[in-house]
Amino acid sequence: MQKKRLRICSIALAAALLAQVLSGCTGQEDSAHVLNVALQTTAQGVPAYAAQVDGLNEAAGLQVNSVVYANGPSQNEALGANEWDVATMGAPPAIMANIAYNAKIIAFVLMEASTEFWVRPDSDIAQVSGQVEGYPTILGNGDTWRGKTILCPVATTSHFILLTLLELMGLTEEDVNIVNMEVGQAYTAFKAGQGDVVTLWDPVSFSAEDEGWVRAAYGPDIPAYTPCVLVASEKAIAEKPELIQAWVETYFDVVETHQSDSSYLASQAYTLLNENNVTITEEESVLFIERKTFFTAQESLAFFQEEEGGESQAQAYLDEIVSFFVQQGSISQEEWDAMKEKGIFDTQFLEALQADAG
Amino acid sequence: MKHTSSHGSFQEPWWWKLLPVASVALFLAVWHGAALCNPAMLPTPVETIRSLFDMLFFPTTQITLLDHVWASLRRVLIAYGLATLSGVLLGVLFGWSRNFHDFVYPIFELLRPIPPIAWIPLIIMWLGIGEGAKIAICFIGSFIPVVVNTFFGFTTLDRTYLKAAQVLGARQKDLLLEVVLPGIFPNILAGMKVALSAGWLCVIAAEMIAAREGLGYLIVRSMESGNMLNILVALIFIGSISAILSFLFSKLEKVVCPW
Amino acid sequence: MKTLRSRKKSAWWKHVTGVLVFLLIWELSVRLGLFSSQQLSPPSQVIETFFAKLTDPRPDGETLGVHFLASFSVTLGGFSLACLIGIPLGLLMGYYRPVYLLVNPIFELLRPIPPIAWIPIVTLLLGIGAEARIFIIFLSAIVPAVINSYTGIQRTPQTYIHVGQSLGMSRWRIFTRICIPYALPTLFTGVRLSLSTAWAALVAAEMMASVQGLGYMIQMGRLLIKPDIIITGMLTIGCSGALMSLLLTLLENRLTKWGR
Repeated sequence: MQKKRLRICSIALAAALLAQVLSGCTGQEDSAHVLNVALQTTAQGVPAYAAQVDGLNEAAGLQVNSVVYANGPSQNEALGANEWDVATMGAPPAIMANIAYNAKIIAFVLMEASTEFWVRPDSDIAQVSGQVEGYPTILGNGDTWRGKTILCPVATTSHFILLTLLELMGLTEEDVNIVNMEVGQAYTAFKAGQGDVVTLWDPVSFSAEDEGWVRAAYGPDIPAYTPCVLVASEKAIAEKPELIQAWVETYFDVVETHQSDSSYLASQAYTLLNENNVTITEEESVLFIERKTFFTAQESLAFFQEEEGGESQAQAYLDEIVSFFVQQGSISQEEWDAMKEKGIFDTQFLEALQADAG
Repeated sequence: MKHTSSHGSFQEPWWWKLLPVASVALFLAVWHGAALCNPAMLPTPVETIRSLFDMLFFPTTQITLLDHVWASLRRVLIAYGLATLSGVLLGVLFGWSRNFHDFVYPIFELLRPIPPIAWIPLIIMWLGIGEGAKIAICFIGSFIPVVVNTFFGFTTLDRTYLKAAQVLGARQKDLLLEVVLPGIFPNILAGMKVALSAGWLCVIAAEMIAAREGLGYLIVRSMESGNMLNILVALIFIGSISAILSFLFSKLEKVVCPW
Repeated sequence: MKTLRSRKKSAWWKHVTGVLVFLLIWELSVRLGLFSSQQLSPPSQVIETFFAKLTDPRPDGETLGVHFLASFSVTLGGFSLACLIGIPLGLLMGYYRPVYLLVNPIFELLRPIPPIAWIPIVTLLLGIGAEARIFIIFLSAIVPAVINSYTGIQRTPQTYIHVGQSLGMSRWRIFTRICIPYALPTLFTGVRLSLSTAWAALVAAEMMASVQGLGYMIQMGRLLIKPDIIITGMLTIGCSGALMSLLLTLLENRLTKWGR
């Protein structure tokens, strides 16, 4: 009995030590002075990337640890384990992050403008045009889109845009078959003959035309306004606000540079994407950046100002997106109420930036 | 390998030896044919082997193939070590202490049928997508067979040895170390064998779902870029390593446990 | 000295107590903040979600029943196919050496590859429908079925075979009357193993590319950060797997009794 007890104790001790080690592996060492940044291979991540590789962060005395994630949901998962402090993402994942982890949106950086829906030339959707009232460029209608298998990453900006598109035609998520698939995988699968409609964003979408596919709908044509945002975790706002401030500053410094020299971000985008397994040519990276309108710090802050009617533009956009998800059942009414109570915006960093400049 | 249909002095026809060769050749031929029909989707065996050598000896990406292999192996080995130690401990506890078994075993039985892959989302939520998460998933996959087999060893243990030792005045400690453990050792080894392949399976699954390097990650990345060559090369590696691990374990088994 | 009967009875309360303590610790660890409610849902929440999901298709798009049926039917399909093809194949491999020599190399080539690794290729070649998933399950479940079948045959003691020979039985009759019945226990172990392998492969296949099913439900729970959905899914998978295994054991007992 003695021996067994001793053995149990020693194993328990070893296990505890091990748990410590393992959690150490996933956590950050010396986290107080390092800002952990989560990016994607999307346009909103490029200024952050540029700030890092061009030494702006260093010049500002900011130590940054950047990680590139595949998409919004992956970033949110990592946030659950507290692996990043700030991130660039689309609004829908930001909303999820707020509901789950009380993360805050600290700035708008551009309006999403890259989601596209493609079909094959022989699809019945491609044969119908001009039937969606008010949106002549959208192909197909309620009847042709109904029952289709659509490859789309769920809980992302594209998902929201898709849902809006369906609503325009009088359809809901139930009327179609949405298969959750990363854009890269979806492209390959669609090429192999799977699915009827594929959701792509740039730069993957640049190759779609060469495949002979037909674009059924273009994101900017659809009234789904999704801002791409900067997000900060609750913990980081409490513990490292100065680091976040410095990061936001270098971000918008890069945006300013871009305003005067648009090729700058394009070359940065080229490196960022290719380094992370997203093939993009130099011409494509120019197009990639050209399509997006980056907001300056002032423009960004303006979104959060309350207009007459008491609501800011930012709040209006968010409400639109959240109400959509509530309708679909992905977010519950209670969660939305809780969201309204605790708030999703934190404008202190933009305001401080404004105060410094003005 | 003894074969039931072959009796005593049965002499195998010479051409039987060619059968394995024939079947492999047939397999390669079918593969080659399918590849010719579908060149965009499926590379030929020759292209695949060439690609394998290129990736091994002339890597072009930042993270080489061997880096991926080592990343996967490392995770499995760590998890496997932990799982074996704790699994044997738990199995012994279940077998040795009636009370412990009665209280704790039902919980184990409740969690056991859940496939390790199903644990992945929850574990990622707790441990993020770092090494810890993948090691934890492999741990679950390896832990369960070790516990099950160790405990099973207890149930099949010949009680007469125990009684004999008790009669001869052996203390509990000696009973455990000298009689029980050697008795259940074959079962522990059987469990460890299953655990090894289970661990390898889990690491690939975990990497396919959330990782930044490793063979599973390579497959998923390649799937995204439609790179069938990479997928096939990764599959070959995964299969080979699995086979090598099993082979090494069998050899080890013969040395450690010749009876 | 307790009799076996009374020992089993008194063990009963220990089982229940153990499980209850476990549930209590689980519940408290969330309530007391050890785990945030976004990382782990307490049992009370899970039970609530379970009953809600029986009728509510939100937030992942289908009710629990629909997911379960989708998963169950695909698993059954792949598993049955694997047994239908794998068991006879394994039995023949165990008895007839030429069959073994012909089939084994390919088998050994494909065996070590984990089922989940097949998914990208199968998805690209067969798509994302139920057929693709059934095929993946078939690939993974056939391995234990074949292996245990031929191991079972191989283990037939030579004495039995000699008896059959001396009785003048043909090779085929020895196979069917002596070897196969002898192999049944090992075979059934293989079938059980095949079932759990099938179930695990199903979860993997559904997590990667599917529109419904228990694995898909878990994946949705992950994307929408809903641990209660994840855990409900996990437990449903676990219980279903255990139930199917139990049914198999009952079937085995029936068959072996009849065989005797």
